[in-house]
Amino acid sequence: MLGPSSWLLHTASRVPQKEAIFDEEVSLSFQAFYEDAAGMAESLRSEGEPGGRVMIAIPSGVASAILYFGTMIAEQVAVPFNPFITPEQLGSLRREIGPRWIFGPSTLKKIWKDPRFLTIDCYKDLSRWKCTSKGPKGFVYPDHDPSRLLNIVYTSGTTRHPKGVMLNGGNLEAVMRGILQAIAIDEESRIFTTLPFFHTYGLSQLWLMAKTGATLAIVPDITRMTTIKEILLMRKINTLAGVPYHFALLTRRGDRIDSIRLVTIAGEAPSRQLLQRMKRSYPKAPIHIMYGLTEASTRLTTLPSEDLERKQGSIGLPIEGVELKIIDDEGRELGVHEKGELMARGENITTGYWKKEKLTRQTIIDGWLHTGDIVEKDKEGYYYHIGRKDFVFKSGGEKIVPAFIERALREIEGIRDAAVFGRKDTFMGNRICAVVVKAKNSKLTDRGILSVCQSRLDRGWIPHEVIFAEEIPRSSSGKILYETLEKQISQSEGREYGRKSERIDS
Amino acid sequence: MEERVRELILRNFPSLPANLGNTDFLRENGFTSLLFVELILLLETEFGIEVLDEEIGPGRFATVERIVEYLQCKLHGRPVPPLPSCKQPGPTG
Repeated sequence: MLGPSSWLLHTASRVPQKEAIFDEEVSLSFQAFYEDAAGMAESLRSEGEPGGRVMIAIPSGVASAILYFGTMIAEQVAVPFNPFITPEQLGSLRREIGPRWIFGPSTLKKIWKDPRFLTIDCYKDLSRWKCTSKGPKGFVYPDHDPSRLLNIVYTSGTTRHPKGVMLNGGNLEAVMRGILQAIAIDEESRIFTTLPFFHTYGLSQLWLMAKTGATLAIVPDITRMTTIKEILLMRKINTLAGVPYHFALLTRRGDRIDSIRLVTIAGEAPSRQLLQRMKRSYPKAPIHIMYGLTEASTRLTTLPSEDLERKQGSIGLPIEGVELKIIDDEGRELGVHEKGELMARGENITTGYWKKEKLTRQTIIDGWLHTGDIVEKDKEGYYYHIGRKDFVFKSGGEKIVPAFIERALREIEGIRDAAVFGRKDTFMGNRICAVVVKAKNSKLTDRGILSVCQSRLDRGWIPHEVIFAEEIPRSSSGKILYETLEKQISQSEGREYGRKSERIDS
Repeated sequence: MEERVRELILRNFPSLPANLGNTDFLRENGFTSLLFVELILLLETEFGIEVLDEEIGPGRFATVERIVEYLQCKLHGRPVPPLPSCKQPGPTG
């Protein structure tokens, strides 16, 4: 048996009484956690042959973790799922997944109206579906087939249509080898996170717990600060894993927690100011910036914490087992300081998307994953994330990467958020349009912003137009939804053209 | 006060429906925990208050009405009521 369930079995036999996982409701030792998972596995296994999909749409917690491991012990396929998906998307995805079971909270049961829906609101609800007989004894363990499908994880990305990334035993074994070689997590680690299990960064915290014997504390939502503060101070947490906006809330007061000894951050590049605040709040903790994709079982690179200053803005070096290269539009490999699309190869790369053979063939070619991310590397081989390929546009013959300009804009005093997109223009192909959210009492004008840009951006990348807005639309994982943004801008301009945006004839 | 809070939220979060009722749950109108974090930081700057960590929890900022109730306590120095006791492990809304 490969992957998370075998890790959990070995750890449970090695440190049965050690605390494995806890949330606001319940704490379980590895022994108790394994028995619950194996108990679930028996009822999931008894009703059908292997490979059935089990959708788990429960907020992150002990109950969803038990279902996740139970599903794999029963040789079924775990499909962790975002409970807040829009009804329209849900319809098509349910047909695509064809689940045998769906576990979710009662609030969703009425909305999803599905006979396969089994309600789980808390840990005790599991006993309704769990076989009473204790797991391990009468259990035949599945084979060591690295190609057996264990999970399908839907990736939201910045496009509207989520796609199901298939992850098998080999993928998960490979990514864990790479992560554990770069990040010091072991049996002493007590990890706290609010990351959702329907993203692989969140799932990887479960893998770390199962593989190393670390203890994992889960709260499903960063805004449950009352409980979070108590857990951080009273339950000997020494490791944090999150995305930038989690740390923005956690460190906004600047209160210090010396017991934190390791911080990992991924999902988006943290700003310089946020990193300074995190260093003040967690003075004893090396900070690891990490980058990856669902298609790479969550991880491709990590930045060694000692390089945080020396290699500012870098996403670091490939983890063990991962090969990277950068190519131009014609597929030729590029060298140092040449921007191009990042390609990745390794055992942690998915074999493809569930029921999307065409898209798979377009995305993974000769074993190389086309990440769609624009990067460059320096002479020491450190990588820098520039932005997303699919939002690149041409302006005046120049390839413009929006995220690169957005980062420069966000560093300007008085700008809270920014997004950049191309607007059709007969003369230049696209005008570079910057949508800016000002901080509350900032007196910044669009001319002021553009003059600062002159000193920070190549000439061809200076925005031609600045539009002030109240908010930048983002997806649940914080990524900018460019299509929604463009629609909002064209609608608002249609009504009050000229008041909000001053056209600058440069 | 209720009108001022409603206007502030609708202006800063254009993804919310214009006819948002004062007792409608923000979470059921597309609000994510990311937006709740922005809301908390916005309330602090807009009303010059300090939202203490212990005061943030399930249901606190779930609707315009609850936000107004919270702000009135903070602005008039009254103790903030304890969080509604919904033990159900779900997001803040």
